[in-house]
Amino acid sequence: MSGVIYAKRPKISGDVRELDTRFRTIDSTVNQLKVYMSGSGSVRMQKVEEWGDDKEIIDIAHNLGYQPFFAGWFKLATGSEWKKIPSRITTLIGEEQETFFSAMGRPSDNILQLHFYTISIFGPMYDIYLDYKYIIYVDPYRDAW
Amino acid sequence: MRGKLIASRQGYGALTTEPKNLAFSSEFELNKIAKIKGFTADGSVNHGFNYAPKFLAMKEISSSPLKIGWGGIGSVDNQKIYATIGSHITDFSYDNQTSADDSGEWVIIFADNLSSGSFKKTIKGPIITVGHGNNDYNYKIHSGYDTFKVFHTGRLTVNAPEFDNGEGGGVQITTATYNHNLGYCPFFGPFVDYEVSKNAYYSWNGQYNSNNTWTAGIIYHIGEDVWLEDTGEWFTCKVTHTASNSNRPTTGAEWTTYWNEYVEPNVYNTYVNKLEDIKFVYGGVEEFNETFILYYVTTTQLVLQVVQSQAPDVWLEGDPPYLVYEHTPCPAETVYVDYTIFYNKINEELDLISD
Repeated sequence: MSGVIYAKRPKISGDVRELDTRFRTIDSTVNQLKVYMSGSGSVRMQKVEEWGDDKEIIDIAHNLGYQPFFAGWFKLATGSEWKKIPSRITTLIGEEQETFFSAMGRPSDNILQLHFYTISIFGPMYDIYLDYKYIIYVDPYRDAW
Repeated sequence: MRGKLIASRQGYGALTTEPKNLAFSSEFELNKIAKIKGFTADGSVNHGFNYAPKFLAMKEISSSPLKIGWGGIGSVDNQKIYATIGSHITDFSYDNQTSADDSGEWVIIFADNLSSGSFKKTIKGPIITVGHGNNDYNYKIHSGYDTFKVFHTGRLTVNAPEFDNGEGGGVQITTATYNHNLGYCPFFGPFVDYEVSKNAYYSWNGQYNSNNTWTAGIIYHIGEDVWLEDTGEWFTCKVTHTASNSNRPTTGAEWTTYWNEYVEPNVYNTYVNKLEDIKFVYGGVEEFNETFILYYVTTTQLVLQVVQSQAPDVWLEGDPPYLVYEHTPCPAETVYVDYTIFYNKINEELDLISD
């Protein structure tokens, strides 16, 4: 028989072998989400003409051959508040507000994308950077065991 | 050579199987869930680190019955977790659409960092760690923090029949459920918002992906659509590249390496997992019949619902009044999701930073 590895949550009493799985932090008998790759970077957002906007796409090749779980975050390079991808950050550019959106894409089983964009052509001219971080998991979002 | 710590799914060789068949491995980091914090109003609390931690946020749609879904509006900085209570639609009818505030938000905080800083918790009792470093986030595995553990996976399919409630319009809700019976609300995937307007999704993503007229010199990313000015034909990029005459759709010698002919999406067969890629665009959404997709958990079930909202006949005042929109049926449609349910409980505060 194969051995098992269990670890339980701090302050949970009892024999780890008898606990509900949710009280174990490590459990070799069930699948735990595993980080396959993570990364970070900055993307320049620039509105170069009146009545325009900007869209920046970052391709991330994971080459897993299936669709993995994903999580990502972004913030203004000049700020300290991080938000999830997808979501939006509104900030002042001069005296006008602009909203920067983040999103993700799954164009193939080997590539994930990060998307950053604005949608208002009426907003101010801007030239800023957004910082991002992401995690791509080993585990597929379909039929993980 | 350093040792390895690997555990695999039963029946699979730990040293030979694909990583996705492993329970865990010292080759792959496990997220370190440090804290779960519930909010019932907008607000902030200290998270306990001196750096911005990775996090997830879920919305509690209602507390009784308890319903939780993705789409929480949280954020973090180097000191605090910020929560903003969102809202959801409660009446989907065309002429009386109403919303209500969510009953709460749950924010999940990892020890893993987004910004620089330091933290190492005091260890009480035996633990398992893999890796080394001055901070807990340096460890690949740290049993002092929780991990996401898969409970069950499967597919839910909703086959919503055609809906025609006549000139008055109306709402039809069709539901598919999986009984997890855990007795609490578990984490689940995919991480798709609780409530998605299908019309907005297809309209906005279609507009967003459209990169208009094919132009030499532009970088086209996989998934973007272009049209040819001379023929009006649409194409979808399949390999990110810089456009040139050699890869121009239909006339470039290598065009089939870079482009597929555009295929209209089947808007009556929707894969919920795909909705993670939603984009926002101003306007362009049909205003009459509409379909919403709801995806959430209760303490006993994972729920997928299709809400078909049929617009009634719309008359404009006049003498005599005149019909500007005549009702049409909501077509039958299929919506399906490949789901993952985890053992982890959402609706309970957790603090593994100080424990």
